[in-house]
Amino acid sequence: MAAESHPGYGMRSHRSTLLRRLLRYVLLVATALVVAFPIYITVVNALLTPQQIAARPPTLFPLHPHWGAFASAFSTGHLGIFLRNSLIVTVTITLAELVTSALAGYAFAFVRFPFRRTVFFLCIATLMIPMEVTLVPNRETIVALGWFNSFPALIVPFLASGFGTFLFRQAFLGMPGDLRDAAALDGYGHWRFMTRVVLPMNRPVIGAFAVFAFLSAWNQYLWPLVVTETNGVRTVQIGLRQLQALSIDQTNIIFAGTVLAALPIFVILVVFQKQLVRGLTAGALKG
Amino acid sequence: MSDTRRRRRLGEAALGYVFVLPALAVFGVFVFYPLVKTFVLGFYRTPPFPNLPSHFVGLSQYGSVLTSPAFLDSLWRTVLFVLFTVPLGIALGVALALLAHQRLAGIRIFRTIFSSTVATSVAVASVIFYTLLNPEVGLLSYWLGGRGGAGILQSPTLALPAVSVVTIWQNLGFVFILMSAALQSIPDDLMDAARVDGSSMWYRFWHVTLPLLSPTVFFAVVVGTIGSFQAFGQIDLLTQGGPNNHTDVLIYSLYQQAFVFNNTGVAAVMSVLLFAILLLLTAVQFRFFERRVFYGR
Amino acid sequence: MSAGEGGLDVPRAAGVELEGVTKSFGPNLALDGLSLDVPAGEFLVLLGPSGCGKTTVLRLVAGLEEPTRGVVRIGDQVMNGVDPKERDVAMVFQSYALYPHLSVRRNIEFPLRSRHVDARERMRLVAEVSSALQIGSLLDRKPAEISGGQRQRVALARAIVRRPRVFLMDEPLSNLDAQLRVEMRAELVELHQRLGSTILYVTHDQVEAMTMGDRIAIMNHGVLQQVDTPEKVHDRPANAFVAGFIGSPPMNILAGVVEPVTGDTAPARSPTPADRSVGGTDAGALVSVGMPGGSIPLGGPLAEAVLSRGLASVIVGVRPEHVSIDPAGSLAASVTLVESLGHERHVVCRLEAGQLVVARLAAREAVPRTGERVSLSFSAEHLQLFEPDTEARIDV
Repeated sequence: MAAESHPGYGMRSHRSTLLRRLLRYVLLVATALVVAFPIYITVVNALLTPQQIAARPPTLFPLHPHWGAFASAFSTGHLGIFLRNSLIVTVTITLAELVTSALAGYAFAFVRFPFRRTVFFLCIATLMIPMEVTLVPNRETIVALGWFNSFPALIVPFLASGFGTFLFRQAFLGMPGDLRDAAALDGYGHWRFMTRVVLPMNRPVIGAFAVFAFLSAWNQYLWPLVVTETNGVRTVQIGLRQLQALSIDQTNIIFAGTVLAALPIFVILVVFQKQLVRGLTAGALKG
Repeated sequence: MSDTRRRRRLGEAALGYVFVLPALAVFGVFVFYPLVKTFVLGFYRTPPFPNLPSHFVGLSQYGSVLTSPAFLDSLWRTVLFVLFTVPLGIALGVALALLAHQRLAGIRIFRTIFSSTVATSVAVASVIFYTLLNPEVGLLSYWLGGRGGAGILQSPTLALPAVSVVTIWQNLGFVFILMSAALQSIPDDLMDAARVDGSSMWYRFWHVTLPLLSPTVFFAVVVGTIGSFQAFGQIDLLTQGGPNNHTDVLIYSLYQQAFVFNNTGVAAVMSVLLFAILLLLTAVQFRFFERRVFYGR
Repeated sequence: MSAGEGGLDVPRAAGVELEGVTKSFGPNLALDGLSLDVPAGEFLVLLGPSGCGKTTVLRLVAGLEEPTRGVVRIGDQVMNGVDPKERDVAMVFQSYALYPHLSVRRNIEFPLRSRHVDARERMRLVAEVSSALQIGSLLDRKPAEISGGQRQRVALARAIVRRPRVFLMDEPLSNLDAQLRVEMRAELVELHQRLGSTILYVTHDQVEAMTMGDRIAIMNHGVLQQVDTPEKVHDRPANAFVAGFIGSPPMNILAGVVEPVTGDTAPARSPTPADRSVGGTDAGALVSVGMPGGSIPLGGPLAEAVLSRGLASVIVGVRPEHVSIDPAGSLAASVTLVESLGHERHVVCRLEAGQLVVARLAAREAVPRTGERVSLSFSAEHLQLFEPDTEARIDV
C-alpha cells in the first residue's frame, strides 16, 4: 500500500516544486527587465537613427544597427578627449591613493612615533568632511595656485584618502602578531617587512580599495565642474553634461556617448567583480 | 647603549612621519585649512560687486541665512529628497537581494543584472533618464502618456519624485550588493533551524532575516542619507533646481550661491550647516561601528 | 497545537522510515537507494566518514531537502513534499544555529512562537525545559555571552521544548572539548531514556556511536553498510569497510591467497613449528591463507565456507586484541613502533610486503623492542574473512 501511494505523492510534490520554481523565474525575469531596462534601451537607442528613436511605437530591437552615433560621439561630442582626461585623472588618483594610504596605514599599524593616535584621529576625521563642504575655499586655493582648469586641480586634492588609510590600517592590524616578530628575527626592517610581507599578504584589501578608489574618482561630478572650463581638461562626466545639451535630432549621439562613458566601469564590474563587491561592502562589513 | 636606542627610536619616529606626511599634507591643504576658512568666510558679507572689499559682519550672516525662507525651503526639499530616496531604495535593495538569494540555475545572471547599475555614474543615470523623459522624444514620457505635454521633469509636483526615482535606480546596484553580501553572511544553519522550528516564510523574514540584516540596513540608511544630502549631479543635469526651485536642494543652492551668484559668504554659511548635518550623521555611523566591532568580538 | 500537551516525561515518539531513498545534488550522488527503518523510541546513530551522506539523511527527514527518488515516512505518514514545519521534528545543529539576536529564552521559545503557543504555556514549557537542562540562570543572556557547552544545552532545549515526534542531531557534541563531550554523552543517553523519543544522531566519532546508540547505521559513499547493535557491528562487521571503520585501533585488514591443504602436503611457506599455529592443529587445517611473511592454516566451518565458495583469495580481518606476539606464530614481521597508552600498548609490526599489523597488548605483557623480528599469530575464533570483490563478510 505504501509503495502504491508513493509515486502519486512524489509526482505531486514534484509538480508543485516545478510550479514554484517557474514562478520564481517569472518574478526574477520581470524584475530584471525593469532594473535593466534603462541600460538596455540606452544601448538600443545608441544603435538607432534619431528618427527611429522618435518614431512610435518605439523600436525595442535594433534589427539594422547604425554604428554612426559612436563615431559622432567622438567627433561632435569630443568623447575621446573626455575619456582620455578621465583616464589620466582616475588612474593617477587611484595609484596615488594606494601609495599614500598604504604608507600611512602601515605607519599607523607598525611604526611608533609621537602623537600617532592624534595624527590617526585627524586622518579619520577627514571622513566627516566631504568635498562639498569645503568647495568654496578649495576652489580659491586652486585659483591661487594657478591650477584652475588644469589636471593638478582635478588630481592633487585627491592624492590621499582617509578611508583608504583607515581600511589599510585595520587590515594590517588584523594580521597575526607573530609576523612582525618573525620578520624581525629574519632581520627585516620596516621597508622590507612592508614590501615583502604586509603588502603581498593584504592584496585582497588593496585590490578592493583600488576598485573602490577608481570608481569614486571616475564618477566625480561637482568638483570637476567647478574647477574646469575647457574641454581640454574636462572629464567624461562633465562631457556628458555638454552632450545632454545636444538637440533632439541628435539623441542617438547622446545615448552613444552615455554608453561610452559607462563602458570602462562596466568592464571593471565584469573583470573585477569580486574586488568590487569587497570594495563596496568594505565599509559595512569591516569594523 | 641607550644612545643607540634613542637614535633608533628617533629614526623610527622620523620614518613614521615620512610615511604619513603625504597624506597629512593633502589633508592639511585640502580638508582642514578650507574647513576653517569656510567658517571664517561665513563671517564676511560678500559685496554686491566684485573687487570691492568684503566686510566683517560676524554671526549676523549666519542668522540671516539660516532663517531665510529660501534656505529653509531648500533644507525642507533636501529632507524630502532623503525621505523619498533612502527608505524606498533600501527596501528595493533588500527585496532584490532576497529574490536573488535562491539556489536556482542561472541565478548568477540575475545577480549581475541586479548589481549592474553600480556601473552607472550619477551623470550617466541622469543623462539616460533626462533623454528618456524628454517630453518630445522620450520613451518613458511616451509610455507615461505625456507626449507633447508638459514633461515630468517640468512638473512642480513630479520633478522631485522623478529625480528621486533616478537616484534610487542609480544606487540600486550598490544597495543590492550590500544586502546580498549581508544575506550571504547569515549562516544557512540558522535559516534551516528556523524552518524546522516550524516558522513560516513570513515569520522567518521578520524574526530572523531582518534582525540579522539590521546592522547592514542601518549602515545603508546612514550612508544613503549622507549620499542624498550630497546629491548634486542629478539635480544639475535633470532639473537645474527647477521648475520654480522645486528641486533646489541644499547642495544645489550652495553651488548656485557660490558659482552663479558669486555670493561666497552665503555659500559658506550653507556649507557650515551642511557640515553640521553630515558630521552628525557620520558620528552616528562611527558610534554604530564601534558597537559592531565590539559585538563581533 | 500539540506542543503544549503533557510534560517532559510523556513520550510521544514516532518511527522513521526511509525506503529506497536516492538523493543527488547535480551530478553528485549523496545517497544511493538507502532503506532504513527506525522504530519509535530508538536512539539510532548514523556513523560514517565525512561526506558519506549521513547529514543528508537528517536533512531529508527534516524536510530541508527532498529525495530525488524514494519515500520518507514519519510515523507511517509519507513525508515527501511536506514542509519542514508540518513534520513535527526538531533538529540540533553542529553549529547549534542559535539566533544571535535573541536571548536564550527567546531562542528556546522560537518554535513555540512560530506555532502561536500562548504566553503562559510558553513560560511553563521554557521553565520546565530550562530547569531540566540547568540553564535557568541563562535565560536573559544572548548566545554570544554564554559558553560553548551552555550553547549546546540551549540548542537541545530549543529542540526538546516542543516535544517533537523525532529528534535529529547533527554532530551536536563535535564542537565541545573532550571532557565536556564525555559528560554530554551520558546526559544525552539519560535524556533519551527519560523522554523515550526517537533520535537520529549523526556523528563521525565511533566512540559516541558505540556508547550512545541503540543501533548504529554505518554509511559510506551514500550507501548503507550495516545497521545493527554496537556489539554486532563490532563483532560481526558486515563487510571490510565496517570492520576497518569500527574499533580503536581499527581492525587489521590483509589480503590473503587461499591454498587448499591436501593430505600430508604441508603449506608451502609454513613456518615451524606448525602444530601450534592458529587455525587449530595442522591436521585439522583445510586451507592455508598465504600472506607476505608466511601463511595461516585454517580449519573448521570458516575454511569450509571458503572452499565451498571456491575463492582463490580472501580479505582477512583481525582485531589488534586478537593478534599476539608468539614465537610459535606463523607470520614473520618486524616491530616498527611501540605506543604505550598506560593501560595497554600498541605494537605496530610490518610484514614482508610492507603491510602494517597492529597488536594490542596489556601493559604487563613483555613487549619487543623496535626493529626486533617477531612472529605473529592470530586468534582463530576471532578471525574475520571477507569476499575479495564484494568485501562482504563470509558467514558460517
